[in-house]
Amino acid sequence: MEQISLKDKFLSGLQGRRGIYLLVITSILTILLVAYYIAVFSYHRNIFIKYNESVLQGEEADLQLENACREDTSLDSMYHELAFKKALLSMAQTDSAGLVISLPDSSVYLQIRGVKVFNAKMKNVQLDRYAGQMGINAYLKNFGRPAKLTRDTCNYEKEPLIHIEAPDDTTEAKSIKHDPDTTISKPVKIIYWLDNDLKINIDGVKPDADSFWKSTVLYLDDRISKVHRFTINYFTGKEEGYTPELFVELENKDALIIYRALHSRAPVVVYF
Amino acid sequence: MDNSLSQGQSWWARVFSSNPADASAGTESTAASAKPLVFGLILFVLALINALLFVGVYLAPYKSIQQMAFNKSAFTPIDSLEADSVAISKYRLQAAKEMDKTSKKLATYVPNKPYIIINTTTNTFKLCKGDEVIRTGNCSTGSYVKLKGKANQEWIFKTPKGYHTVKGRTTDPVWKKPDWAFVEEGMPVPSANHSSRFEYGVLGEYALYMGEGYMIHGTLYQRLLGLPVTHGCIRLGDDDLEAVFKNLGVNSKVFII
Repeated sequence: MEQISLKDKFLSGLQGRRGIYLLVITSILTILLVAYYIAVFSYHRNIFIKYNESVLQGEEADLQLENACREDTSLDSMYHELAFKKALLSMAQTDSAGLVISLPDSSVYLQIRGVKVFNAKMKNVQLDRYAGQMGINAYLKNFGRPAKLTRDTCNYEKEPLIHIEAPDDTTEAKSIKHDPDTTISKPVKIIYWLDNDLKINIDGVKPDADSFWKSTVLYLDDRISKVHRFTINYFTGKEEGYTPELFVELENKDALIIYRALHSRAPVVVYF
Repeated sequence: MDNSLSQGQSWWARVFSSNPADASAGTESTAASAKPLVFGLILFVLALINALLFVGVYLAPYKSIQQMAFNKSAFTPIDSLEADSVAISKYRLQAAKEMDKTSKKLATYVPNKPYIIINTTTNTFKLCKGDEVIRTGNCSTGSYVKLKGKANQEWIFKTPKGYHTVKGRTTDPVWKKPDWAFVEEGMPVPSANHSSRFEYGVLGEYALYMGEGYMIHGTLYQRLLGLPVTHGCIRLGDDDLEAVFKNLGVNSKVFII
């Protein structure tokens, strides 16, 4: 029997009407995807521009500073750093732990009364593409002071309580054993929502994790839902506000330390 | 269809012809077989573009910090105002002044006397002075046991987080057992100053009081250091306790996370 190679099979498959159908379908798909791509991006960009413009229309906006920072990026960076330090100073008044996320030095730390009480190095960090383009007035308004946590979720308990009923006598007391469970087996996943609309996703990974692909997979769910939401909003004409988003990867243990150290209304300072 | 006619046809006509003979004519010579290969390549490139666009839609709204520049390309300068170099210099000077002032204020918050940081998740401690770490080690903190008594009493054995200060310190401390210590052991609760409440030598050689019954003290159970097993106090090993006691005075800062 004559052997037909894979290449010949492939080439013969492209001949005849099948070839032209395949070409037409692929071309239509490409055009649709390009249109979809442009639509999603223009939608995302437009809601960001509206967000930025709304701050500029406010009474407190310093338009001259806005212009100066647009002209001179080093001045813009300087004002970002100043806003960060002022926010830290404001946070130093509180007696409980506050969270500080500093993107320029890739660190996440806890601060109590101006003292850095815990420091973790980021394994990976991603900020939504528009947050970096935020005008200085919008930045100062939202990040020039410590934001407060409004809501959080985590797949670990904040306080891993062990419930024990009081024993009736000393014999029963001796039989009660509660071994503390200190294992951190599953990857820590935390989501924080802040009162300045920032959403922070903190994911715990193993110390030796190869961050790029793992983080891509970790964030995929969120991205898919976001793109789907944008698509629906785009076609239904529904307006949506801009929500800056930050993804941070830390070592599993560090992520859990941070989650357990912060109370439900803890202050958070983000610097980028 | 004869071969000469077939050779005279355009490549497209042959490839897309519904006649298998025309199509097979295209595969007879090496030169002719390269043409469907090119066609296949076009399809492959289109498919690749599709795949990249598809992946791009999901990945592109995010940008890693390494790629992120403070790019203001989304905006154009506001027409009514011009950011001249004088205005930029004015803002730069103002920012530098404020930065210096804020940095100085922030620096005053770092204690120049020794202080201790307790981590209740890892059950470790760090004794520091300024930005320098003097000593680190294991400790034991609250077990998170919630004990329910018979008379609807409840106790949660957790170490209080946040900022505290040393309110008192002593050598050879005596433990005055609270009610929960008896309830936990299944024993009747004695009167407030009953002799059975006082235990000697169980808290180690030193104790530092933080208020509300919480202390930093020693332990008889050194093998449990590093585990959350206490009723809320912070237990240290003998050598660590001595170092901490020597370094921390009254009003020294204790940070618990």
